[in-house]
Amino acid sequence: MGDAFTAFLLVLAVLAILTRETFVVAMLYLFVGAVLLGRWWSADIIKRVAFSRKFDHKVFPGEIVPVQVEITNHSWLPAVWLRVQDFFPLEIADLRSFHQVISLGPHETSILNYNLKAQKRGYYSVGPLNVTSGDLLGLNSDKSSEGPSDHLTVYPRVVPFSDVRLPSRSPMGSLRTRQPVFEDPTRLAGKRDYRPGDSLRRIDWKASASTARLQTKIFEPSISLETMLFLNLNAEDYPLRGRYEGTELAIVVAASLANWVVAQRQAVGLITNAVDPLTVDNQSIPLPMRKGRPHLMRILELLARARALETSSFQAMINQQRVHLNWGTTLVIITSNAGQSLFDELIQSRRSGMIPVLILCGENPENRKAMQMSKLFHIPVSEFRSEKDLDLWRK
Amino acid sequence: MIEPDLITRLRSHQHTSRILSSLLIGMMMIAISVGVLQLGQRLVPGWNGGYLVIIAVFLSLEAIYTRGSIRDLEFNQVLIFRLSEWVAFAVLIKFLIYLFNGFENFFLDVRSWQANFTDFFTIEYLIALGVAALVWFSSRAYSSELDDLFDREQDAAWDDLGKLQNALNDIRKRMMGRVFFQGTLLTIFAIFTRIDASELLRTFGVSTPGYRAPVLNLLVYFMLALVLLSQTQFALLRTRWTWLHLSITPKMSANWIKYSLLFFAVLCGVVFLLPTEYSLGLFDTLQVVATVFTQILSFLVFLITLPFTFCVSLFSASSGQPTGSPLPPMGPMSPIQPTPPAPIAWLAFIRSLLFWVIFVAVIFFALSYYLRQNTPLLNALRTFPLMQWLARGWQAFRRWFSGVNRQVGSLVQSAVQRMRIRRPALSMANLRDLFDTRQLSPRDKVIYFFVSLTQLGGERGLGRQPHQTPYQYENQLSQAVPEVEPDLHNLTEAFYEARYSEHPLEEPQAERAGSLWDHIKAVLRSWQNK
Repeated sequence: MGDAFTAFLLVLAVLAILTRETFVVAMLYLFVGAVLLGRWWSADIIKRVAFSRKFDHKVFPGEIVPVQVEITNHSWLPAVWLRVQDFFPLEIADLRSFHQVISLGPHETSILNYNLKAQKRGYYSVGPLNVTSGDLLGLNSDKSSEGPSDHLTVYPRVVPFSDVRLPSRSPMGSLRTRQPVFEDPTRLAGKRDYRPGDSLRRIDWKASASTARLQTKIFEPSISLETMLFLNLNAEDYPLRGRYEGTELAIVVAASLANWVVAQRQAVGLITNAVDPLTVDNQSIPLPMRKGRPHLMRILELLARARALETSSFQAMINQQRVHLNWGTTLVIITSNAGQSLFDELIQSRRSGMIPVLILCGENPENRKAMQMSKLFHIPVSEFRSEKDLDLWRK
Repeated sequence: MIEPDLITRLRSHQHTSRILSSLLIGMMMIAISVGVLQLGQRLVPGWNGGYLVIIAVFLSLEAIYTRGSIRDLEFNQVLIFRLSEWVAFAVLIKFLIYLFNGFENFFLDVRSWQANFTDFFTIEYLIALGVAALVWFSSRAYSSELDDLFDREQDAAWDDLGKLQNALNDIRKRMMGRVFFQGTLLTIFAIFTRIDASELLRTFGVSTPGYRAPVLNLLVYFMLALVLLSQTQFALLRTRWTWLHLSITPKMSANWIKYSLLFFAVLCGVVFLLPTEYSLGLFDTLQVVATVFTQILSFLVFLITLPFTFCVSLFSASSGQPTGSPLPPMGPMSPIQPTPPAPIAWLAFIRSLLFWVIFVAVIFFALSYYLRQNTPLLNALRTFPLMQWLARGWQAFRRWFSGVNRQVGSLVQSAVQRMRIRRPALSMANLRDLFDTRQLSPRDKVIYFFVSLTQLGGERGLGRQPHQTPYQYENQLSQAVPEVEPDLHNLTEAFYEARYSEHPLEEPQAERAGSLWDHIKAVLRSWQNK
């Protein structure tokens, strides 16, 4: 098109020069104006088109995420055509791509809708939204503009546990226990006749008066379950075959345990050596033990972002972090490979008054040896080869 | 494979574009026929060729319509159809010619056809047939290309995008070539219609009056052509979008038509408002601008130096010199030249200035935009020694200009401050007093009267020559106007006394010189040079 157009402009220019007819000059203006104004128009539109994307940024796996793209033309000129394209990874794609062509009048807003599908745990980038426009004659190259990216967090799958038995030595909690040493004076279980040696503070004077015999209060023993989840996501510690499944299973176990502990109204924390793309040095920040749903969501978000790569040593991490934990805290160690060095750390933890629990995830030929060692050292251990094995705690 | 929904939407867009494009082609053909008509009327004044417009409308739409309707016919059937079609056209055109020119001669013409059938084909009829053929074949070609351009759903489904785009671009180029070729022809028709070729035509025995045909049809043709080309661009984009399986908004077709019509109509309006009849060239305009700039600069310099000159004049007055004003230079008092008429009409100058400012701005914008968009080219240009030298020169000029600007600003500011502080008494009233003869000293009054005499003499053709002393000038005037000879002598004596004596002059002496001057002035004003 350009050659014919240029040739025609030259012919007009020659005619204008030869004849000095003003209307030929006017025709020349017309075509030059069509090119220049067309170029300016499309550039102006691209500058003045604003676009935004609205969607629920945090979802659970399997959820459909409606996305609303709002495109506003702030110019006094119409946008004859705008090609809108949004980019997203395949893991959250419900359709092949979002690609649409629209037309906007002056100061008009158009709302476009499409869906994302949260198929897999992760922290995904949605966008950038790309808008392209051009002139009416196609004489100038198309202009395009990109908007900022948004992020979608897909939480890990949470298995609703109901029969988890985690030991604890933290007294005065809200969990019933059979250990009489953890009697809770706020939890009255009943009364019995006074026996010599009972503390005077335990005598129920009102009941003694009404029965005319001394009655002693019986308290229910209780513990609090302060649980710190140590999640190993150092890829090297997982066998190459089944590495992905193993790490994902470990994440699911961590998420499900955190959910269960919070459901028991107990405190839970998470320390992992996974890579977190949101931090500056990509090292995930330890989440201290807290109670409540908001804290659980923070744990789930961290687990959603966690990536299993070759990172720092798991044993070294436990060694560094356990000194900050309270006496009686239950340490849940979620890993694939438990070697001698890890058991050394766990024994040290137990000597510090903590209760280590080992959970082995994924297929690992070394697991049998680890099971034997844990028996030897009296460390509770559970093995989950696949998500089906989690049913053990779902009874 | 493309989804059926996309195909349906594509067909909907194609249908709208097809209808509009057919209408555009029809109207473009009308514009061409009007151009031919105007040229014909220029060559043959009084020719009633309005039927050309009807032929253009009818034949263009017929060509577009029948192209689709006979698609399924066999070759032989098509041949017969086309023959019969053109026979019908020939009859219709003949009928239209009679309709416009009157049926008075119809029966006579029929008899002449019976005698000699070649009489049927008159020159007018042949021209009309030529225009009809041009319109019909053009419309058919456009229609064929539009079909090729629009009906691409199968190709969009199966073909490679690059191949598809190349094919569409080829079609588009053909259409553009035809549009521009016909546009050039139409422009040339319009030029021939409008040029004053009376002398030339007279040599061929044709006598025509001056004629300035309107060129609205040309503007309409190009506007419609641009809309048609924008539709071809839409077809290209639409095929690409379909190939990419993009969803296209249903209102796209309507909006494209609406906005392209609006855009090109506004552009045509703006083009008509822009100045095209500028009378000055670029260098003339620059010269005028430079003159104005120089005058402004001179005025500024005068303002800046005014306090200094004023101070110098005060200093010379207080150094014991005669109290009277110095004798004005007695240079040659040439007769006042008549003011030449302004070479440039102000309106034309403003329009020309506007044109060149817009022109230079557009060129500058286009070049700078192009260079900004082509950073490698800009970087390559920067490496050239000439460009580096120019850039350094420009920087140096900017530094010099900003320095000059600062200096002039500070000078003006300081001058204003000096005027405010040192000469508070110099007010407008004082300035007025300088030019009021009643406020002059007797010496200055006498000198003023003599100088006025030389000026009035100059206006009457009796100017003082540089080599003439006041006495010699007095003799020259006395010979020319002998009736005021004593007055002239007395006034010259008074002037000598005032100019060269050191004793003070009295007011009665100045009044006497004034009365002498009044008498001489009255005589000189009524004096005619014999």
